[in-house]
Amino acid sequence: MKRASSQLLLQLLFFGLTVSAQTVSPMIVECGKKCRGEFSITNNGLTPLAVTVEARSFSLDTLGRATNRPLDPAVELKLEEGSARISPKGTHTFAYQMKCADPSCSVVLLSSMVVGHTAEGILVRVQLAHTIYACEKQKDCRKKVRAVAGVTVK
Amino acid sequence: MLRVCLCGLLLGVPVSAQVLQLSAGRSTLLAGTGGEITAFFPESALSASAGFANGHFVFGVSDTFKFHGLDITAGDNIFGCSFDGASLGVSTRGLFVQRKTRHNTFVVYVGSTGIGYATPFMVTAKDQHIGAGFFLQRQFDNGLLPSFLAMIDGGKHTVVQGLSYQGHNHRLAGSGGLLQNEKYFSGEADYQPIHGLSFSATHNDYFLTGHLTANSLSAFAALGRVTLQASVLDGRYKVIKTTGASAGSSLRIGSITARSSFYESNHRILLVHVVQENLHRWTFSGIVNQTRGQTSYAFGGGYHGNKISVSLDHSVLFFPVGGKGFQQATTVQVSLHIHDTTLNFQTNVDAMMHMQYTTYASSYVQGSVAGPAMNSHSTGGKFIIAGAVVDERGRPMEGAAIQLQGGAVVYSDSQGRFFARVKHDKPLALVVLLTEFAAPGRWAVISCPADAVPGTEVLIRLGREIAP
Repeated sequence: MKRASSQLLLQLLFFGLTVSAQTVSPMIVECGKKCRGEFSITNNGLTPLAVTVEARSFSLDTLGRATNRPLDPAVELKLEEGSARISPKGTHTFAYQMKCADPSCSVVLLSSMVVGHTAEGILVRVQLAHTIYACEKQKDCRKKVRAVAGVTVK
Repeated sequence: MLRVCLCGLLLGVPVSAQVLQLSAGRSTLLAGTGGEITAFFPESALSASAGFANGHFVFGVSDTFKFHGLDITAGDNIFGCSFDGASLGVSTRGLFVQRKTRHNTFVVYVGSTGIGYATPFMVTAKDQHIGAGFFLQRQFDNGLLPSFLAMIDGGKHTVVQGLSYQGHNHRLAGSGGLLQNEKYFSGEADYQPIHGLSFSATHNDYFLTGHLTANSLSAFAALGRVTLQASVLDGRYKVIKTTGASAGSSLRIGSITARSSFYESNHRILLVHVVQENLHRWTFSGIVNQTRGQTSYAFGGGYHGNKISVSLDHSVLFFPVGGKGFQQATTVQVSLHIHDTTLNFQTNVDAMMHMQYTTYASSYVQGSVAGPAMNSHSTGGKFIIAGAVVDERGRPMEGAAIQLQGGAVVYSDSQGRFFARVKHDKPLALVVLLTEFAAPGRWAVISCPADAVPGTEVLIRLGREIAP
């Protein structure tokens, strides 16, 4: 029992040490009605990381806060991979193709990963967002979407 | 005694370490061959390096740990500071203490200094002199960043003061003082009056086998699909002065970029025309060079993927050493990722215009607290095998690992959904990897089809195992 407790403590300490920042790049992209893109997740920790990717459409309120919902029917998204295992200190690139049938589409690709435990043993799950704004024309697409949503804050 | 400690470290560490990092390599650029083993513990990291540098056997040992908010390294380390164009790295064998907060950085070291060797695969130091030093840096909210470095390395003194300021549309930075008994100054000014238009001026002092001074003035403009750039360079090494000028423009249409550049140095004119196409993860480039009435052709390109990255690049660099001016340089880079092992090969052109290479491998070995161990890269393809994982109550299960015939492993998302792209429209065997789950707890398979057919949905039902 004592040995098991010490091992558990060691594991918690270990995870406590390795809950290092995971990163996504780029965070935001703008594109036309049809686009092909990719984003990278970097595992800055020392243990392998299982990452799953989920797509959501989202809307903005006037304060710029996003509310996610299931992917709109107007969005045709083809993800090359839905999950990956990322090596320690490694980077994995997820590629996608997207078509938007509406005047504009706001999509977020959420990468979820379990990065460790709290000192109390509660699982820590991190979600990193790669946001895609698709419009008729790529230029200033994010600005237009925010204007349509009536976002007043910068 | 030192050898006994080294042997104890090398033999004892792998038994108790949580993660081991093993690296080995060779570099002609850094003139060495060797390897390193690093053991990561809950609160510290222990490293041991050994190899040959410039024909001599070298070794290094270090222990890095935290103590009352301080990052401490005991043993071999590189005391490196970089600010506003000044960068200095001194190999130390002793005690190295660092404290970093949001606004402040404070580093101090005490020990012996000497010729060191720092590469991605080996860090060693050779103690020659008694040395000590410290480095201070503070970031103010108004954009000011002052830095101060002072050190004594044998009979050599370094005292450098740096200051940089980041304004709304400009950045100014400068540093100067004594760098290992040599007078030193470095300065940089950047100005961006409007979006897409920028100007830059720099002055730098470098210390190779002699004192090298380099100055540059450059301008850059981006007008939609067109970019324009021009620069003037000036370098002085020993008694030889070299000047150069360049100008160029580029046009981007879709995935294709066409670029033409003019370079002039030592009364020699070089024209370089490049057409480059980016196709998803591939890059292709065709290069036409014209100099002294002669035309030559070259091709480059690369592929950047999750398992392999390869590139062959041609570039024009300014070499003030020996008065060579603008010269073309070709570089090759290969990077392979096999499970938790990375293999790298890269060529570089040194300051004397000699082609050098660095190659090394690095791998992580997991201890008792490992993450998922299987490789999960999808093989790609136009057919999809998809499904859902639920628990005994029908609730979606996140983090379940499923292996498909052929080796690819996929994980279920927060909705319990998973998918994998496959190349052929034929059934593939399916296995639930209970030991590879990213989800906590112990699970057992209640039901799972033996194989999955592309285009149809698979349902996997799991139950939580109660520990006896």
